[in-house]
Amino acid sequence: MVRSTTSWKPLTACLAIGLVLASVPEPIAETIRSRVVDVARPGQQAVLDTAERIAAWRSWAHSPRAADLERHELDAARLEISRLRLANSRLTLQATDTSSADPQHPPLVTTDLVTVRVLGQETIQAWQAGRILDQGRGLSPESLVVEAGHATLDLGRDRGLARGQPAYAGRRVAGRISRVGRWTSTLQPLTDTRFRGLARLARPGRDQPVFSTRGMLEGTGDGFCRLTLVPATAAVTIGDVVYTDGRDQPDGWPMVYGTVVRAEMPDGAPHWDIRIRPAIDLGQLKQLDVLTRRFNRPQANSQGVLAQ
Amino acid sequence: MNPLKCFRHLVLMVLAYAALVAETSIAPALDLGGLTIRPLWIVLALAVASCEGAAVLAWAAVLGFTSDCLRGNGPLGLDLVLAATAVSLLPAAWTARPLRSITTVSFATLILTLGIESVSRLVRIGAVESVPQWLSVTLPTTLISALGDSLANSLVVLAALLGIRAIQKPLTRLLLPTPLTN
Repeated sequence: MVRSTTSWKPLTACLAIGLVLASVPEPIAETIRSRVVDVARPGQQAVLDTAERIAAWRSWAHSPRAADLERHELDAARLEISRLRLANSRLTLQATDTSSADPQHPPLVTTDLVTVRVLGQETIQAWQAGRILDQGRGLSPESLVVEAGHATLDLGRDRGLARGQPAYAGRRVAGRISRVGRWTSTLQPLTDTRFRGLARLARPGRDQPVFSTRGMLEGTGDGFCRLTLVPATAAVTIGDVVYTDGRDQPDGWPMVYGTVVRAEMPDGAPHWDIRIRPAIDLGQLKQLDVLTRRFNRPQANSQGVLAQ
Repeated sequence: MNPLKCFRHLVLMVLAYAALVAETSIAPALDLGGLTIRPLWIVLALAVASCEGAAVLAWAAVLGFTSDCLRGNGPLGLDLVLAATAVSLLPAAWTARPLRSITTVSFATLILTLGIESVSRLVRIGAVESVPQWLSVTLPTTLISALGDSLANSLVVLAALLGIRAIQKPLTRLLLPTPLTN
């Protein structure tokens, strides 16, 4: 009987404390979180010291090899990096959470995804040979836009396609429109040596990717890409995902370029040498979504300056 | 409070600090094929096993609050409430007196980790935009991920307790007085 009258009180107290903590303003909550994480710092230092001691003991027990020492130093640095990444992801979330109210007016430029098909080689050859029945629409072989090594798409200028528009397959970047004709256009793949795009590195997080350093993605021409201008101070690991970096994504969320398959730091170089495997298989492309932009203001019937 | 209880709380305090350090240094570096070890919930299960009554709830609140501070998003106090609720929903026989069975302690770890982690993640994911998508994608993914983590947690507890018992038996035999012989 005594148990039943007293057991609900601690739980109620816990719920009340939880409610009070949930209602604490975000800056204060962040301060509390930082203080608790700071409490762990002596323990983390002890873990690092222990790891170093074990490394030293191992090197004493076995033959002393410089490579082993370097590896243990690397492990200690990785521990520190993971701690810093935790702090960084928390700060990133804090920065992104401070959103303001949505603007009331419609956007000046609207974006739209136009789905296009990739024309097969046989169709292109039939077109060039003049074997396609055009029903008097002026489908001459010269009207077909073709570029060597570039896929040909079945929509052109008449459907709003223009040079430079990005093309996606799902959430993956395929490339951008390079040439546009009346009926067709061509796709410059992201592996093309002339392809350039702003990119951002991210590592897989617990709930969502944790974005880090920005760079410039360039095609290498051999089916891969490289990420340049990533400073030597940035943390890069194999398996990091490379996203687009810009504000004009279709739904405000970045698209995927690919994955880091090699990351090297040449001696004395100021930037990483990073090789990227594209997320998309360009040989298997059947259809794409091209991002088009339109001016979104109605034409005003201006009375002119004299009417004012 | 008798000295044994004080000693138990002292040990739990040391374990809680070790869990905090492990959560911020060792656990993120572990590569267990996508599984995550949550040492804080292991300590909570040990608190359930070694304490009784309101002390279990107090430990749940402390460890839940620590977990809240380690998470970057979501409301502060969510894990505190979830841990306290999960502990209070455990069978009364588990929280009324210290547990002796290794299997029960491992099972308590499984239940606590699964309950707290799954609800906490679902709440922290945020607003539901499409209910069918949430039911078909988000919910099963989160539950499977939390189940994997809780299984890993309970296996760690099981292995640790079996190891401790294996060491304990020869030690006890060593400390016992030698039987008198004729």
